[in-house]
Amino acid sequence: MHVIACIRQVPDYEAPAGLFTVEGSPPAIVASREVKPVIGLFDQHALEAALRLKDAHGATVTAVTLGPPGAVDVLKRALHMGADAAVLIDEQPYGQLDAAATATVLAAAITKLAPFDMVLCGRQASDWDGGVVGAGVAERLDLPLASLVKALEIQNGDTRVERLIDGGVEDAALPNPCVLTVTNELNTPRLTNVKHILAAAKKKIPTWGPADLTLPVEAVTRAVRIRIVGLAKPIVDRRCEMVAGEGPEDAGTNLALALRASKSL
Amino acid sequence: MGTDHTGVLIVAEVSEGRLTSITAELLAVGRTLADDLGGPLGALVMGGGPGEVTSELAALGADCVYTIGDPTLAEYRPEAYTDAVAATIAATRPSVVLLGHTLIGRDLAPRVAFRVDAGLATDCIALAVDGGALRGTKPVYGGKILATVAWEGEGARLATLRPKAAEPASRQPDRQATIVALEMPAGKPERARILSRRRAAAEGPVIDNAPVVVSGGRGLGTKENFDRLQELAALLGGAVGGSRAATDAGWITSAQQVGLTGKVVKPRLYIAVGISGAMQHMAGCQGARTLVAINTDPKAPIFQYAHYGVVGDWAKVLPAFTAKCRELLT
Amino acid sequence: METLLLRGALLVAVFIGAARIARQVKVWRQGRATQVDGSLVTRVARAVLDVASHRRIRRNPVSGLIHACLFFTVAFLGPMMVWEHVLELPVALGGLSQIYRSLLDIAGVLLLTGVVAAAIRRFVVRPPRLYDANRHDVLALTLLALLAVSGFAVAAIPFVPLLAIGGPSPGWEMPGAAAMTLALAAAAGAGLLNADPEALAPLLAGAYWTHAGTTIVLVAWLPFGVLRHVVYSFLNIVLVRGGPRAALAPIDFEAESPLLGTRTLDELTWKQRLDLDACTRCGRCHAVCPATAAGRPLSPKRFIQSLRQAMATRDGDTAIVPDVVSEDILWSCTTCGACAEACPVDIAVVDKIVDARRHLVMSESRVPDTAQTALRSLEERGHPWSGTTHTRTSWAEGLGIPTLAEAPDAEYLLWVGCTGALVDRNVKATKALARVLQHAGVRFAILGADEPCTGDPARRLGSELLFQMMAQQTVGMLEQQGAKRIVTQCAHCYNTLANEYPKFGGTYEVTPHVTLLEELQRAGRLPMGSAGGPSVALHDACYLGRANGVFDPPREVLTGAGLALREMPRNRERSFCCGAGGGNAWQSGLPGGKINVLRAQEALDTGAQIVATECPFCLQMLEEGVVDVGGAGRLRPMDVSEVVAESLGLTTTTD
Repeated sequence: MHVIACIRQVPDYEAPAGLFTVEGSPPAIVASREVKPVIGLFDQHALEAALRLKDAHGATVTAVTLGPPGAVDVLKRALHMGADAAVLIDEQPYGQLDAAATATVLAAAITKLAPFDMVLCGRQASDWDGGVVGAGVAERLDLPLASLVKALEIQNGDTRVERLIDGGVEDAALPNPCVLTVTNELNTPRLTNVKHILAAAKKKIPTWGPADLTLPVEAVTRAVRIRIVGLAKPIVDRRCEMVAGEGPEDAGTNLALALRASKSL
Repeated sequence: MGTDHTGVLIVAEVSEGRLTSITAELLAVGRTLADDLGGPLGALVMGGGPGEVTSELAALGADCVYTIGDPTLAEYRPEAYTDAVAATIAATRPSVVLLGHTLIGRDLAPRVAFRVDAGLATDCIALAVDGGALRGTKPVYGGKILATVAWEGEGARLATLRPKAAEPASRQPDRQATIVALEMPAGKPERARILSRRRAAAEGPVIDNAPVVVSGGRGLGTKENFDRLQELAALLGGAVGGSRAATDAGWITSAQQVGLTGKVVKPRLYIAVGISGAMQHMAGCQGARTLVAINTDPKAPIFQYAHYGVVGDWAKVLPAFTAKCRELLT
Repeated sequence: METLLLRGALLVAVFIGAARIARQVKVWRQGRATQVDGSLVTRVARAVLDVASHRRIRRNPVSGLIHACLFFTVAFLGPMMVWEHVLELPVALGGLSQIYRSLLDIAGVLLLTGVVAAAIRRFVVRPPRLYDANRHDVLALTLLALLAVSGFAVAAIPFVPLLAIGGPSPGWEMPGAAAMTLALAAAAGAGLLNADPEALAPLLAGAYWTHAGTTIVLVAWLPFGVLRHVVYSFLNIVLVRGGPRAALAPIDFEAESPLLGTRTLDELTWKQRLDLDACTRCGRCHAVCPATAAGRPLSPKRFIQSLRQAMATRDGDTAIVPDVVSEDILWSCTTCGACAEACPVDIAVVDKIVDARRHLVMSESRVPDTAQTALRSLEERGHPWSGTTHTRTSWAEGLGIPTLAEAPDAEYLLWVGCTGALVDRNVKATKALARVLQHAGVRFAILGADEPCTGDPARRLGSELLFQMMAQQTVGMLEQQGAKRIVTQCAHCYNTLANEYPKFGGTYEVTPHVTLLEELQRAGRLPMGSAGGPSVALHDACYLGRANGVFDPPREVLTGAGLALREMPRNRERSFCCGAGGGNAWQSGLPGGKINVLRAQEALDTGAQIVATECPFCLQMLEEGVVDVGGAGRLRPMDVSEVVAESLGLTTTTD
């Protein structure tokens, strides 16, 4: 069984808002030195799901990332967690990519990695928060898709999932190969493992360019459908009325009175 | 921009035979866009024939209501709905297609976008026409930054709208709309099989449209502490929510999760207890009319969004607050 | 003839004992190799001095006295008896001969007293740490008692017929013999004994051979039973590992196939295996362990004894976890080192616990959930406080503190630490320290956004590779920035930078903040406070106090600031851990109670108004603990720097 996990390197999504500014013309997001590049939140869950399939069914796991050369770090992390192989697809030839173009490139890379039984993605990237690429990959590859997956297992060669719906879950079965986008309720991502770290030191992570994907750059740039034309930090113009008291209980009482006075209660 | 694409199409959401609140919000935004771009405002509803829902859509401002009456479409099915919406777009050629950024919309919109090769901007908090071109404003970086996006390519432009970001359209009960029945396209057989849907009977009110939400975060510490929030919520006639940390810890269900990947709520009163105010959470609640925060850290970001704040240990503040509320309300 | 028999039997006994010891040495050597540094002569001398002074055994006064009675008497009697009766060498003491005889007898009495006291203590009083008193203890005590009693009998029996005819009896300068003589005479008088010399002869012979026989049995049995500690414990004291107490041994990851912690008994080093046999089951570690006190699964004594038992009875490739101890036992340890401090025979416990953790974490990726989040956060963003809304620099806003790059000639680099920068409560203490240092005119700089974690949480949790990677990066960065003199405000940062980084090429002059504050007070750069300040109890941080000997500076600082110092019952080397160490700051849901609650209660019971800490973890733990025991409002946990800042009027309301 071969499982492909699509992961992405993003600026630390836990970094407080104050560490980001918007500067320049055209505007760009600038992150402080303190903000470390990490694997996207939901991508970790996707990778973990792939590794659990490896534990349970002996699947081989390939991690794929579309990004700049520095993104090889997230692929190394994937190897350190137990992935068998990793591939970096160089994003530099393509200019500004949107979800549609990203899905086009990823689909080409996944095709090159065939045969495979499952493609796992996070439900949305932790930087652009789109939630579109996973579906795009499925559509480009003409594969069945289930999104917002919070539980998954293989049963009789099919993939059985629980997905999030309003007020509950939906149980569905998909034939393999299929594409799944996963959410954080699915699992807890594991730690890196020293044996994998030492083994990964000997592994090479290839970088694929347009020639390797047999995908001309124009085909990708022509697929772009969304452009970012503006960036700004949200202005929150609110003055909080701090309610105090002689100790926390008193403050609680005063809070109730303040809300009552302003007719919020 | 293909000149034969005109007007706006919204995809309505129906639950238990009634329109959900997002539909009214979509119609409000759709109306403005249709007027600015020139063209009609259409609404697509699946699963039933003409009836209460279609006349409600008309009352909320749709010029034209498209129905696909196949009863198998009464509940959302990804592949069938994708085929249906794509076929409707092909048939009606709207210039803009709007869906809600709901659990359905998050699944359906990307599928449709790739099927019809259209640009899609998700989770928009605002959509407007600027110099004849559509512009969407959407939060990125977990809500820390706002991005303005533009669409490229021929054909329709798709967007999902964040719930509660827009005011719902006002009702005009005698407003009429053209009802057009469309045929369910002869689709390929569905590959994914839906086996069952399990909805837990919500224990108590749900946060989605509750007038008051009492929400707990990491600072609560245990599941039992959420019972104290429940006590306050019940007193105020509201529901209990929480942050992603609370969901991950198993103290609340994902149906109660407020935030970027949870629910967006816009209650009259939102009380955030032990929540630091990370952007992903604020994205879900900053629209509340009155936002109250209780946190031990005076520098917690949530105080930048709150109308009222108390710096202190919630375990002490909350019981006193609850007691006083009880006194004031009875 | 008798002498020949005696010599022969003793020789056989020595042979048996030695063979047993040799066999045990082979068992230890099934473990891994390890180095012991230093000169053997110095080590032996040190050990002899330690045992002769009973320095550590005396810390428990009653047990110390009992052990002294047992040890010194046998140490005196044994060689003297061998000298006189086996080697048959003369004891030429001339006029002192009588005193010598008297001393032998008194020694016997003290021995018997010790045995009886030990028996009462072990089987009647039953202190909790002696929970495993058993029949092997009975055997040892019985043999020793027999030795004493038979000795008295040998001395007394010849006097019995003389006493019957009004002759002399041993004087009370030979109390044992005298008492025994009286007892035997009484028995004779009561008709239980035939006082006839011929009738007594076999009794005398019996007493003699009982005495000799018991000695021979003891010699042969020594390494087999509970008295083995006489040899193994002494050996362990001789071979004690030197170096800073709380520094852990690194793994060489560049070796061929590095061993990732210890999975099996055979993966322990031979020295660690010797540790196990050196354990006397005294339980002093059990009595001081904070985890044990809080009802957690860990007891250091049970831990060591379980391993010892397994080493003796099970295959070498038995997995330590879960076949010998459970995971919960491992994770309960706060690495406070109280066990090693209390142990009179230099047994290390923390090293074995961390080695076992290393295997779990690095080979099996198994760690308690909440600790997993902290480790992942360390790996990805270089600090363990996932979810913090603070940044490395937000605490310093408005304080005008330069970075080291901006002020390369600063007197000190202030190492803020992850906790001091990123956790709400601790940020206040950091600000207080900065204000105090500025007030004293100290020119210090910080690393700001570039400050990494020292890696201590990773190392204590067992993630050694992660620690080494972080250490190497940090050492490189500090070298590049030219940092030499560092002030820390966290006990763990201090210990790691001062004692563990040298092995990674980083040597710095590291000063804990309490020491610097004391120097500043003495130099007059910080004003002294006027007396009459509030009362304060100092909580000695394990990693500053017990591990690194820093006891007086914080006390000087507090009294210098005008506060009335009270001592906690468990203070200085015997300080009771706050419960955060060993990665426990990030663990929740472990079975058992909470350690910080016990310490908070102890602080509350001193009646002090403030409990002062010198480590951010202790501060967090005591804040929570004080609330849990209902002390909020009565007892204020504060860092020493906050106390000083407040006494100088430097804190502001927005802190």
